[in-house]
Amino acid sequence: MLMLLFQLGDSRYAVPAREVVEVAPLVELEPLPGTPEWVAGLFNYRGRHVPVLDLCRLIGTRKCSDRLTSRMILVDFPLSGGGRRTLGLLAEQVTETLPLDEEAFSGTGIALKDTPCIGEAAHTAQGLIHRLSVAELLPADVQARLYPAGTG
Amino acid sequence: MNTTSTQQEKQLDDCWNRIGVWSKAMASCSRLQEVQHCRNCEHYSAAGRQVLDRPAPEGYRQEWTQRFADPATDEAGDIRSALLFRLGDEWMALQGTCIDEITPLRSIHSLPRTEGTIIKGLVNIRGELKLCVSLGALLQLEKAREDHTSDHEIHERMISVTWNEQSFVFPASEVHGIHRYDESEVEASPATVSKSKASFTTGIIKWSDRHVGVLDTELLFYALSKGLK
Repeated sequence: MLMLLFQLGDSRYAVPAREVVEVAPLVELEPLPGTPEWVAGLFNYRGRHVPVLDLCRLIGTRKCSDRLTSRMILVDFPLSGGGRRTLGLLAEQVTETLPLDEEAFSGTGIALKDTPCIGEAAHTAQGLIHRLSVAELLPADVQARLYPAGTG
Repeated sequence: MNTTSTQQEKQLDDCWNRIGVWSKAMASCSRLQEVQHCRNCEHYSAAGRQVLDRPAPEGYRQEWTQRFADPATDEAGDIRSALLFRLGDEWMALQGTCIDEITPLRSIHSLPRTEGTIIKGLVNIRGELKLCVSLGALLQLEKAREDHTSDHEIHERMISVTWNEQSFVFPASEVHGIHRYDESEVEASPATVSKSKASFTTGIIKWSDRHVGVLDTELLFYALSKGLK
């Protein structure tokens, strides 16, 4: 399984490449009032509105840096009510892919209440890599606000 | 931010110039035994990533915002692919899906009583005997007038094609490769093109500064099988 690697704070994270639609450079985003601070804004993706999350904010503590290696990962987000929508994720050091076996990942044994999207990790030559679960990124209330029924 | 990036650039060790394959003296790096070339070495790729790890230049975000805001245009077209090859002076394009293989020239074993037909003989392609035909004879192309002799030996190829379970091989003076074009780029053949050639082409596409005739696959294979009888 090919994984796309990225950095949040001091840790390495990975998302399966098959869930990635496109890796795009940083763009200007339209702010979304009334959303958590880790929702970076709205992205005009070839005429479609795509909400973008700042993973550095969601999992780390500071904003995603304005460097060329910081990029926007567009993933296929499965809605809890069925259907799929594109979701943008800001992350740092998005410069590498790595083939890793599905079995390489195992539960860390620590259930994180605020961030259920990370729970599995793999030991590699590059050190520990956390696996990001795209489906668990958005709590139900935020999902309902970002993707109201029948839009997208 | 800026100070850290200049520090990083200072730290960048260009060992590929010092002891690697681009060094003026002997390439003495011990890693070369294992990786053969600096481009396979993780130090080289890490340095490449380090160069990329710098603040985004001014206008970078705006430019990309604009580019992504434009609606997708590439999906709207009807993209075709065709093999471009040369017969004498003429460049032709043949639908990519009917191409089996391109091989170097093989010797053609001539068959009796085939003079004056499009049949050139039999060729051995990976142990399989295939019928070799002359596309130039079918399209009634004239002999090459331009001087291609300098590249004669290097460029000549055999092209194996299959369509509706009919297989043929034909020699081409030169093969360029697969070219992708949009269906809307195809223009009607000009009236000056010889009649028989025009009847086998569905139109003309522009490729660099050349005009290439797009062959009608269905008609071409029909004519080839008819030419055998």
